Amino acid sequence: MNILDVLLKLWQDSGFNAIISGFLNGGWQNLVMIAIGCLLLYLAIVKKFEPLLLCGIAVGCILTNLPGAGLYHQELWTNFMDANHEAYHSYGTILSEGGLLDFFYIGVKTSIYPCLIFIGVGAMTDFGPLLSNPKSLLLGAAAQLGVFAAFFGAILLKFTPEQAAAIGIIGGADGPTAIFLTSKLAPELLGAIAVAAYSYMALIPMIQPPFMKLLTTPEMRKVKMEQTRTVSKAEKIVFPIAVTLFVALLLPDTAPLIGCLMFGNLLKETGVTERLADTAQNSLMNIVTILLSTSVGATMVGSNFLTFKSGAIILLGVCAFILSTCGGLVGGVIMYKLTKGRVNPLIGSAGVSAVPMAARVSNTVGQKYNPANFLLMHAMGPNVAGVIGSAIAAGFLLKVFG
Amino acid sequence: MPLLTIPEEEASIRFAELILESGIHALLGYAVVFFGLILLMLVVILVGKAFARKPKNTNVGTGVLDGPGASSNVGTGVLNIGMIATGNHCYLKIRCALQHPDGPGSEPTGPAAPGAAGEVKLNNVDPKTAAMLMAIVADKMQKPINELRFISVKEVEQR
Repeated sequence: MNILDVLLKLWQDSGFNAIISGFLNGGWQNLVMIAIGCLLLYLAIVKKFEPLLLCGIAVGCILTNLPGAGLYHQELWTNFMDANHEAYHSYGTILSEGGLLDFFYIGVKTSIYPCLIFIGVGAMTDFGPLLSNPKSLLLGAAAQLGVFAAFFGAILLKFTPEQAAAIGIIGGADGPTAIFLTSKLAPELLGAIAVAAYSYMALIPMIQPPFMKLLTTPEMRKVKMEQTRTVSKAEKIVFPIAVTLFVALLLPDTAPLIGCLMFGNLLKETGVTERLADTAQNSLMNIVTILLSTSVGATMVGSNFLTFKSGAIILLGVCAFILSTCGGLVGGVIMYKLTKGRVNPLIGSAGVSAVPMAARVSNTVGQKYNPANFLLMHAMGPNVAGVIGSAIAAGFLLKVFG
Repeated sequence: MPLLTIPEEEASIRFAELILESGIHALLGYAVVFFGLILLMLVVILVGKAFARKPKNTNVGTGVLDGPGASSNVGTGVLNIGMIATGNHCYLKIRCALQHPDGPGSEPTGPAAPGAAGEVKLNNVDPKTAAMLMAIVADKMQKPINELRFISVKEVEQR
């Protein structure tokens, strides 16, 4: 065998050759996406922006844009969604022709990962603050304003209603819910929406405070809230069961998310399933986070991601976050007025979900104006209410556009 | 010359209709989220009230300790909790108030528990044991200790 032929074949099969020879035919897009992947890694590692998710998304983005590696095949998933194609909804085709990241992505497509993540989130969430102050559910509802405002904005920018609904859910500030809804309504936008959702969640300490100051007065921010009652264990056990039954009966499309969230919470609260709760909180959550983040990153294929739409999604995403924050704050101000100053409106901004980051921001801003004020537990009520609220919003959008 | 051709005009009308429809969907969706969470709030309030009422109607004494001989009676806001501390084989009577601290009951004389602001009277019970028993009672009743007013801890029978 001629050594030169072997070397030539190695070169021709290499990704370097693919990038150089096809530079003008999409190769540059791969390079740009690899650079974006490196930027996301920088943000995750150096700036600590949601590193658990962003690291995986960045690596998925880099791997999927390596020409010739064949880890992810966008065309297979396009055919999978094409009702006129013979591979329509054929997982067999994916399994026989797909690469490693295609197999990972099956978990996103089937909504397994968001639901498993929700089991872990439920096992880590204490609904006690919400139970001791049920009115905080109203703040969780008010803070969904950004979801529907961004949906409307996306329609104005000529996105399809399905795409607009998926973009709107970024305002729910709830990653698994955003991935769940987007994979059902607009899978082609999954990469951009997931990156926008998780990036803005990491930026909450920078996005929210200016609007918290804008919509509240110093007197409002100084309000010290009364200690809420202690919630009994029995109440905490009944709550997930009641919520699952109630919300799933009201909006059956939310059953996978709410059911898994509350199942995880039930594991935590029963006290007799400690091993399962521990697994859900740690091992399961970590494994699924790896699979979810890399497969979401894999959807960031250059030709699909580097479009006007991705830029518009990033823009609409930040508007959704801001409007959700403002919705929660306005709700907080209304509660402040109605209770004659007993509710600190800063807890309203925590209604955007992003547990527990948004609650921490409420606490930090409150302490700037009154160092003896501890709003964290009061803000956790709207914070977890926001998780339920965004799941209900997703259920509504899925019902209308699914 | 017309500004819009007929297909363009149709497209713009369709887009206007889509905007109107989307606006209605957005408002409806926001209303549905409020409706769902308001109903859920009512459910949570009702469940909370049901559980808050429970301790008053329950025979608390049987829940205090698992050992034999536990007994209680519910007075007008004052609970007389009899319990056997199985480790020490002694019968103790703890009087504590839930809602009405001024309820009827004798006021035994004796030294006050430290930190109790002179409210808890101890009869033949050392302060450490009394503190431990008060914590157990609060835990078993699933009531915060600061919502209970302990009146007395009394050893009534030595075995």
